[in-house]
Amino acid sequence: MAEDDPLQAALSQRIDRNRDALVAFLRRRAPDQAEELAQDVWLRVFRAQATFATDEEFRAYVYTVARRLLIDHYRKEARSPRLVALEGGVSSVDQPEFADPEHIAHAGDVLAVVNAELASMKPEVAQVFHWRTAEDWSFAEIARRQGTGVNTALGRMHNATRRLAAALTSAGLLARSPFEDER
Amino acid sequence: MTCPHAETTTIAWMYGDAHDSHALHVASCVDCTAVLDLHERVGRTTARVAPLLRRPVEVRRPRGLVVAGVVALAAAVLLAVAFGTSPAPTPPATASLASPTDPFADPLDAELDDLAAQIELPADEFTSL
Repeated sequence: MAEDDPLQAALSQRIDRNRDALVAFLRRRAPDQAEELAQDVWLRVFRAQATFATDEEFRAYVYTVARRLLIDHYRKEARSPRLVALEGGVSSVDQPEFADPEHIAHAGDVLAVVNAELASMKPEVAQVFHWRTAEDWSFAEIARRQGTGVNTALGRMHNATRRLAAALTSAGLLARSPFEDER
Repeated sequence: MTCPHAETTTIAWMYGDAHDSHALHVASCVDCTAVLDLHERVGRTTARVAPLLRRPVEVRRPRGLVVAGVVALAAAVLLAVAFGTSPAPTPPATASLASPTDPFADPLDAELDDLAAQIELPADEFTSL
């Protein structure tokens, strides 16, 4: 029981103090899944059984786990097509009549920048990004298919991500950093 | 970037390919936190358009290149042997319609077939050459 164990009691108190802020953080990034993601975060925090000297260390850990789960969430979202490519842009496949024109235009701009940047990369680098994000293949599988080592595949993924970040930043399209928001 | 994990284990961990416990390191490492920040932002920005990305050009595996090189080399050697060191085949002066042999048969064809059978290339490799 948490009440009987001082460490568990301290952890419960820290979770209670950060619960609302975490949900708010997640809601800005995944509005439909914020509560579920928050539950997953706390579950992992409990399982880790880690001790933290300060509240700041605890919060840093919690938001690290949260952002890792957000990346998972984005990958799942990437496998559920909600947009369709059209000549010169994209359109919603869900509810075209209710699609937000600003969101659609933004997605079209992002698609154009990402496709152009991927086309300018070495094919093996662009391929890793595509296979990991659009096909959700593990890095071990990607390495096997490319006939290379896992660390090379990981390096190519990071290289592609860095280049896309630079291109999207230049176009004013990259999402805000969590460091720019309150934590 | 000085942390040795920043561009290896941390990237594997972010995509679910490394153990959850790595989060403890990332939370306390400036380099790894910056990498996590970058991937989270790019993931968030590109998630909705990921299914629409143009498929990159196919990259052949190195093993395929090696096999292709071996086959090309073998074919070059066979051609050199067939045409470089032996006289060109001449059709028989009086080919009979009843002849049991094909007057247009080229011994090189049989040798190439034998070579392909010996190498036993997988079908996809062979057709991609």
